[in-house]
Amino acid sequence: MTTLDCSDDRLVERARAGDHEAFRQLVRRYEPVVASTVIGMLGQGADADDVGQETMIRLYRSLDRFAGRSSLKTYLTRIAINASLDALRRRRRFLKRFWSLGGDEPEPQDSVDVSSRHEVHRALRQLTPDHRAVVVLRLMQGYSTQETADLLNLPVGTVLSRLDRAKKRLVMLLMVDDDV
Amino acid sequence: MSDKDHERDARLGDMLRKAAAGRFDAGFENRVIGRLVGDGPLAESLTRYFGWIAVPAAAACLTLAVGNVVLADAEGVTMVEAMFGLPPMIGGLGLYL
Repeated sequence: MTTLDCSDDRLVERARAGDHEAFRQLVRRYEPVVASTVIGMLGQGADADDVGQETMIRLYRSLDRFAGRSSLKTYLTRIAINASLDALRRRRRFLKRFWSLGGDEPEPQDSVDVSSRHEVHRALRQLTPDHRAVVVLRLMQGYSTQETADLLNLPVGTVLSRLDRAKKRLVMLLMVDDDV
Repeated sequence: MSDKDHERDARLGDMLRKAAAGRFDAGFENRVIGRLVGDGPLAESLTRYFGWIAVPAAAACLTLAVGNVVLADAEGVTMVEAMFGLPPMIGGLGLYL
């Protein structure tokens, strides 16, 4: 049986034993999950790639603690969203310290850019990191409100209110032709 | 919520899902494995050795600087010149004797 046919559990078991090929297969399998979370949060660019790598490294280092109670997808999404929020805090601190810009984020390089996609990512960057995290998980990744609340360690009511405010803002930014 | 709101929410959700990135730049898995294999032991060793080397090195620098200040005998020698054992500077033009 090749690594391509292996179940997640088997690959995790082999990666825990130090099999880098098994871990490579996990990275390949879950890259889309991590990419949509991290790029949704940070925009496309070197920063997002770095946080994506960090997410996978954190997964590798915590494989021994992964008990399989949640799916690997959910486990990785939680790591990715936390790593992204950490990166946004670091970025904000850096900008405040060196440019006194009060936390405005730079425009990341959008290398693969379709204009509507670019507009969506630009609108996402206008949201606060807390609101953005809810939008990425609930609307981009398709998690339920309860799952989003669990992933962010928030009450469901908080998720709903953040989602409502974020949607209103996004509608204003993206659908200017509508009556808002 | 009106039908119009529902329709607008559906359009927004659709836009966001379409905008979700599927992959990082090519070679992502190689970068992850490279970082895992290459950085792990090296980073750990550097952290460990840095602790061992940095503290004694800082202590030695401090001792030498204090020694230089104490042993400096020339008049008109500034504290910085004395600390680092520099020759005295004349005229503030960066010319050393």
